[in-house]
Amino acid sequence: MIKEKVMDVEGLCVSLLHRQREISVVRDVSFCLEEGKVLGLIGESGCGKSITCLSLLGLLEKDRWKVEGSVRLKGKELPYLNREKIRRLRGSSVAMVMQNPISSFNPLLTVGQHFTETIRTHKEVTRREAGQIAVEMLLKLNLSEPEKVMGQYPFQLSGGMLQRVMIAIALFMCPHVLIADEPTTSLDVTVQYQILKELAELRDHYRTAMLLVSHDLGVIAQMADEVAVMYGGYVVEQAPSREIFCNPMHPYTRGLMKSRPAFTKDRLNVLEGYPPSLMKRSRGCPFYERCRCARKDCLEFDMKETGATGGHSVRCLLYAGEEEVKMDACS
Amino acid sequence: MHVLEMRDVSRKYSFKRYFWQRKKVIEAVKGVTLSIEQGTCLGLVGESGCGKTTLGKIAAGIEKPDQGEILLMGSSMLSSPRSQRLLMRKELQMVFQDCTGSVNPRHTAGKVIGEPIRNFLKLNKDEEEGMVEKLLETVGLNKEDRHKYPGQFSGGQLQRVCIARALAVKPMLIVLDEPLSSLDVSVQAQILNLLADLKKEYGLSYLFISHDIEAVYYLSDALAVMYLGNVVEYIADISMFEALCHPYAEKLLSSVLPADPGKIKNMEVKNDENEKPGTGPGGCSYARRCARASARCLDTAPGLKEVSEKHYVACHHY
Ligand SMILES: Nc1ncnc2c1ncn2[C@@H]1O[C@H](COP(=O)(O)OP(=O)(O)OP(=O)(O)O)[C@@H](O)[C@H]1O
Ligand SMILES: Nc1ncnc2c1ncn2[C@@H]1O[C@H](COP(=O)(O)OP(=O)(O)OP(=O)(O)O)[C@@H](O)[C@H]1O
Ligand code: SF4
Ligand SMILES: [Mg+2]
Ligand SMILES: [Mg+2]
Repeated sequence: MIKEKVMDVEGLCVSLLHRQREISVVRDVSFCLEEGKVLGLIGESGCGKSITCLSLLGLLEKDRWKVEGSVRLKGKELPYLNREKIRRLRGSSVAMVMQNPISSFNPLLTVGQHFTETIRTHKEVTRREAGQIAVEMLLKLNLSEPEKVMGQYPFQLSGGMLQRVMIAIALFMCPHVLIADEPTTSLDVTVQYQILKELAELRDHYRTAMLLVSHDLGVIAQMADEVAVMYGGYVVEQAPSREIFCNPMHPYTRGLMKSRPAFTKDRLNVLEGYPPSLMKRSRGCPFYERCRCARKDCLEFDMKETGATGGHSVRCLLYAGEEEVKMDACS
Repeated sequence: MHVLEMRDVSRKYSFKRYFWQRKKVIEAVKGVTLSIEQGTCLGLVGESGCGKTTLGKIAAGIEKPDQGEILLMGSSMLSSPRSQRLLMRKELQMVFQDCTGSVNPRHTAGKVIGEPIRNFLKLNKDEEEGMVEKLLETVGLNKEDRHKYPGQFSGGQLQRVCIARALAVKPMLIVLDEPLSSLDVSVQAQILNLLADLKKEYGLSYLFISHDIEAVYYLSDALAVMYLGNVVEYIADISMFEALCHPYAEKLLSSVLPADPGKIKNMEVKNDENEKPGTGPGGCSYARRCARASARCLDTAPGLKEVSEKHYVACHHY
């Protein structure tokens, strides 16, 4: 089967306009989403994952954010300037599950009203059919008593219930591209399992391309074919899933893999420190202050790709030279 | 000494969609009895929507139970005089699951964190500010962040603001409702270490609600598993983790995804939904989904009973 690029993102830069300054939040991000494949996106909290997702859908307010770079859907540049067109695309060919479920619901509508309205703006079905579809979808996602849920208002539902309603809507659309920002964060593992199963089915049956943001390395290991690691707005490492887990290269990725509490009571091995604040981002590698193998020239590093072998690319000066990098030196 | 004891607490919610419809009632928490030893952490896991948040709110004194008794350091919370109840409120803090909804969007982070300080401690403005700065640093944010508004933080950063707010008045018990859910692994590890340190240093106690079982294992000393409003299994010592045996707990453990692409689960094979409709209201709440359900499970509800030392299970098979 020929792999088809469904969404192609190149040189995406997003900056926040703040008091006559431009603060760059997402920096030079490129990736492509392929048919029937899942790209996992992981990274430090606040590194710009959600902003990346929102910008792909043209959901950032124009007067506060500046978005540069090119995003092509099936070879065509996305019409960000045409509000009506982008709105129609959103929901039909490109669907998104947001990180914060409650904010994407209208507090004055019951969940059922929200569900049927959304379905009906994109598909021609009667209200009654829409209602039936909704109930079916919710049952599939392991939500007991969907009829009851449909009559409730968003604030009356638990976080996990709302998240499933959003996923159900996205699943129903069978989009070409699904952008799922932490789709299972407020769910327990059994429901998470069920949802991942549904997402896998969507991927296999409708060949939907997915961008899956998650900080749960278990979810990423299970779902992703390829993984991109973000830090300080840059994608610092990208490789096939197995490579990222078995052979992480970037010092941040290595630290990340070690800090997971894998059923121990021993003190967790943490990456010391926190990422620099957005306002203070400067030149050079954003990981510099926390990196155990940082060198002086890292501060002058222009963050271009330094190594790319066999689909494994990394942005770190350690990999700029020819010599072999000692894996243990940095952790 | 128990910091907190909940005895047979229940909470129902009723709502209706249209005024002519009959009221529907959801029993979010059904007669739960749990206690938390001082300086320890009780982990609470369970299905989404099973009432963990509701129970957490009851424990934190935010939600009143319809029934039951809550004791803080041995004295009743519900029947104490008002003045004493206010003092008790200081000892119980909660980090909410939906942190966006629990902070005022028009208050800066500094004001959000300073709120309990103003309410419960008598400090002057400089002292308060110093404390807020220190708290921000404790949870790994920058001092300058205190001027930011909630909308300007990422999900994980805001969660840390909420943790800082809960820590502000050095309470006895903190209810942590999914405090890690929007943090990435490296920050999670930092917060987990921080919480473990605070527990050791100040003898803080936690009710730790999470679906991240590995994190629960790390921080907790005891563990309760909830299903549809009931506690179905309880171990007083987390090292007995392997002994968890309630069918729901077993399913929970088998759904944990290992962070290793070499151990990917085959999603097709595991068809765990064998829902049996038509069970009466009397039976075990898990019977509809339980692979081991027998006739008895469908008509009598099992109570929580001690199956071995420090190990309680609510299932007819044990
Ligand atoms: N509306 C806003 N105004 C100002 N700054 C913002 C706004 N939204 C986000 N930011 C900042 O942009 C940065 C990136 O945020 P983003 O939400 O993309 O992070 P994230 O990677 O999704 O993190 P998390 O894993 O915690 O959700 C953060 O440092 C955040 O503080
Ligand atoms: N204010 C309310 N009005 C009506 N029903 C409510 C209200 N709050 C909660 N419920 C119901 O009570 C039940 C338990 O909700 P709760 O939020 O405690 O679940 P939870 O275990 O925290 O779930 P999650 O893991 O998804 O957060 C749910 O069925 C929910 O719909
Ligand atoms: S570029 Fe330098 S500072 Fe950045 S991760 Fe690599 S070694 Fe560390
Ligand atoms: Mg985010
Ligand atoms: Mg909850």
